[in-house]
Amino acid sequence: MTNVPTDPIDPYEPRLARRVGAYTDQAVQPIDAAEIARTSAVAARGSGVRGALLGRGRSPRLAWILVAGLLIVAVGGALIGAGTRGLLGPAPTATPAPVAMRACTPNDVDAVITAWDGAAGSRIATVELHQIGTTPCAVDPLPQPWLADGHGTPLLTGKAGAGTPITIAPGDVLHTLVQAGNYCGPEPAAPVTVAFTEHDATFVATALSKTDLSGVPPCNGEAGPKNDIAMHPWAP
Amino acid sequence: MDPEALRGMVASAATGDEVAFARIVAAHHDDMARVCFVVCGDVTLAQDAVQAAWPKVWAKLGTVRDPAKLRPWLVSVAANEAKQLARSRNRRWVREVAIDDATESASAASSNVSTARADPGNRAAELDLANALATLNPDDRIIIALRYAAGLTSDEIGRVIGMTGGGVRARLARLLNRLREELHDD
Repeated sequence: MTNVPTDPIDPYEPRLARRVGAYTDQAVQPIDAAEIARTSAVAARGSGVRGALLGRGRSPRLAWILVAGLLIVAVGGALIGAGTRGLLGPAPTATPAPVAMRACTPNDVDAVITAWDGAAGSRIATVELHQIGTTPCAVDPLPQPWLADGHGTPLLTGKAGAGTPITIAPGDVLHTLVQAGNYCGPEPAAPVTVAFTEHDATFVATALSKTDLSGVPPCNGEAGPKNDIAMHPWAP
Repeated sequence: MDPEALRGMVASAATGDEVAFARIVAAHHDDMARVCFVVCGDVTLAQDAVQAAWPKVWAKLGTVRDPAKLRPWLVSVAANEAKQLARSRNRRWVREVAIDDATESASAASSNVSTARADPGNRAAELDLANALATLNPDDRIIIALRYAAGLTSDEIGRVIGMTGGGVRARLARLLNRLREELHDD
């Protein structure tokens, strides 16, 4: 299909419009408009709840600063304390999932490490989980986190926690921090990344780079804690 | 659709009428997908971008005062989603197409697949255009998409991207010269 502009500015335009029309035919696929409308309504209601949690009068930047601050405080508490769970308790979770909401699959989400930070004997990954599917789905707030090498071999394996599943709509992004410590094994294959397992699905985060090993925590001694890896609950 | 009917449909959709919203989806989804594809160069990503755009449209439809501006607004929302999605997934813009795709096209042609897309000539033309678009920056691709995938006027484009119509025409003239040269469409 060709959409030719009605205010021509150059004789070449109709030809280019035809080329673009032919080129973009491959992007046009059958849709269910009613389903898209229903999904949009559900997703928009989810955004409304998040807006209420963050404060509607605040700017998005301020809201994210507040969320980041809460995460930093919670992880700081975890580092000071004996355990790796936040002393402040679980962060507020996003929209509680409806009873029948399906669990997200690896096709629905895209996990990405955006930073590794070092802290007294530990490494902390900042991770984003992007909902890249076409319909809402739910993830566990505390799946089983693990540190993986470039071959997918677990280096450290944590434990899953309980909590109400979080519904995420297409385009939503969740955030978490994963802390790993005391890895005393052989030099792992690059890139080292984190992964999350819940039910039958595993979401492997994209590493910072193909050669990244910055997430390998130092060995604090064989007598130290084993499988020292934990995460903050997923939060918007 | 006459302006009054369009106004009524937009008003109904803005108050939460899913049936009215579905009619808007049915009328505009394809053009939004075309626009997204020009912006991001990937069919799957384009579909994801349009899917991500609709909840935002649902949430902000009430801000559309003039139904005549609905279509420019919809395609611009989709274009921005495509741009952001491509950036968030670190999509590389340089296409690597020549050998494999040419082989694929030749193979499809030799197996008597009689679709236009299997035609090596058409495929080569599409790849040329994809490569030419890949040389543009994302904002320029948005302008090209709004103009030649959605057919917006320069004034409509100016309103949705925050430029004057004259500024859009000047930028388009520059882009046209560049694409004409890249595509050897002299």
